[in-house]
Amino acid sequence: MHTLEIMDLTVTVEGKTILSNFSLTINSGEIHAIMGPNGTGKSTLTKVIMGDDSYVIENGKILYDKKDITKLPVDERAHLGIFLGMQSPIAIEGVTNADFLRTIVSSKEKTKFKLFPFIKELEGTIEKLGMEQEMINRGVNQGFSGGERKKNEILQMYLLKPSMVLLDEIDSGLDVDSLKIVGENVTEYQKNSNCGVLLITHYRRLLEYIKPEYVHIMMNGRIVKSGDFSLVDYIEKNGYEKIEKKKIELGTCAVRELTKNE
Amino acid sequence: MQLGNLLKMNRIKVIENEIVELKIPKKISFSLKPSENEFDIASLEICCSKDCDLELDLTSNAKKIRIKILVEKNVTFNLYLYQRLENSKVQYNYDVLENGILHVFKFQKVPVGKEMMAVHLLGENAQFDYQLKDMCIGKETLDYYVYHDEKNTSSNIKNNIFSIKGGKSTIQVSTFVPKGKKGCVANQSNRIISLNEKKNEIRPNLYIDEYDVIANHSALIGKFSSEEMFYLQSRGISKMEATKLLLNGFLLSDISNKRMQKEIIHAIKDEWR
Repeated sequence: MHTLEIMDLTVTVEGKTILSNFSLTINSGEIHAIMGPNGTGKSTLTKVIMGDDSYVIENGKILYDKKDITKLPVDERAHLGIFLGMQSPIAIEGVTNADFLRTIVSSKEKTKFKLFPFIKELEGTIEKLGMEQEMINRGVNQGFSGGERKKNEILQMYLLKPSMVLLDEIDSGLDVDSLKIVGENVTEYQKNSNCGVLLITHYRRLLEYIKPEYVHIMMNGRIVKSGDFSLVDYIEKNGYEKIEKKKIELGTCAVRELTKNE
Repeated sequence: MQLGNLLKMNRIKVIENEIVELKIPKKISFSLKPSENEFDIASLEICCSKDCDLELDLTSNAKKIRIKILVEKNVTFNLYLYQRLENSKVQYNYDVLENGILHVFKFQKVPVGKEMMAVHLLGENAQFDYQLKDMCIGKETLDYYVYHDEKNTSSNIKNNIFSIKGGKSTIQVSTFVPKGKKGCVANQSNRIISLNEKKNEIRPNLYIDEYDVIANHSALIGKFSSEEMFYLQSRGISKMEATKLLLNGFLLSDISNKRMQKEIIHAIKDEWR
């Protein structure tokens, strides 16, 4: 059982507040989805959880299994079992995907790392994700389409076997078939590993494959509304504007109450 | 298989004034003039008359060295160049004739040195591609001139320099396209990754006097980007391992020659923890 707790987190970048007293708890086996308009701090949240030092934590804490990881280096957070599938995975010139994947797995497994089982697992997962075998010899994400990059993120998730998965707009750039493959594989991994999942998305289509139990609406750096899957339908029908209006009229706490009553 | 490839490669190895290894076909002609005293210039001239690959390995303490290479018409020549010169002034002259293609893959580890390179694209459709992988551990000055003397010629210069320890690199790349030389392509990319506090310098110059030209340049001095480091570290790779991985990529990208790959990997191990 693992727990990620984000407690009263306030984050700034270049003096601008991006997250404001943000709180959220995710346990093993839970799938949470965060939706919200552009620029509300959703991607920042995932990067801050992962430890990106471009952001300044002004207040609050991040706990993983009750351990304060707020100041822990990025690689050590990864070793604890936190994984971030990025919205725009970067390309790295000259570093082959094979070298990269071998390095990440050997960094995790250290002396237990064995090449043959690694290759076997790699080939099997590549096939499962419908990726070309030759992509393994190309540079990391170099010349990859948007869909290939996202599948490469899921491939890394499989190889690293994290206990807490953060997926930042993993559906962007995916065609219908790739979305299905990515969605089904994340769900399969989640069921088999019982990991916790935090999904950031703008669209319902991903959530049809990875069904969240908890849906949160984020605005201006904080959660303004939480609910179950029906909240996704509410957003599809009404957009964020209505929530924003209600929030202005009633304040955040009242909006939470309103959700319960609706 | 790899060893076979290494043995089959045409090769000239020069140490000081001596040719210690010579394995070249008739399609390559060459002459070597050793320096007789410290004021003299040692020179090596190579002429390529048919498509071929060549490894040229230079080790010398001569003060002044001149290397002249001519690629004849309709010939593709791949040159793998290893430079291990200490405190030398070295001058390279590359001449490429009509429809000739010259690819230069060069690796050097420079303690101290000055280098001048002049490229003349002398015939229509002549092409020059240059890949420098440089581990700079001392003070080096690189001064490159590329002349598009004919129409529809192309040059692609890509310098990847890793500056470490006492490394201080100054590189100037000047590309010239005179008026009337239409349809030329002139690209240059210069990157210095520096892991020390020394002042490195890049001076990219494009002297273009013709409208019908495609010309690009990029220049970067700095460390590996924070986005790259974050991405790698988020996969559990330590900061040091991430830097090593990026360094391998920086110095090994586009190098398919096995011997050169080995040399570069060896140099990284030697100079970087």
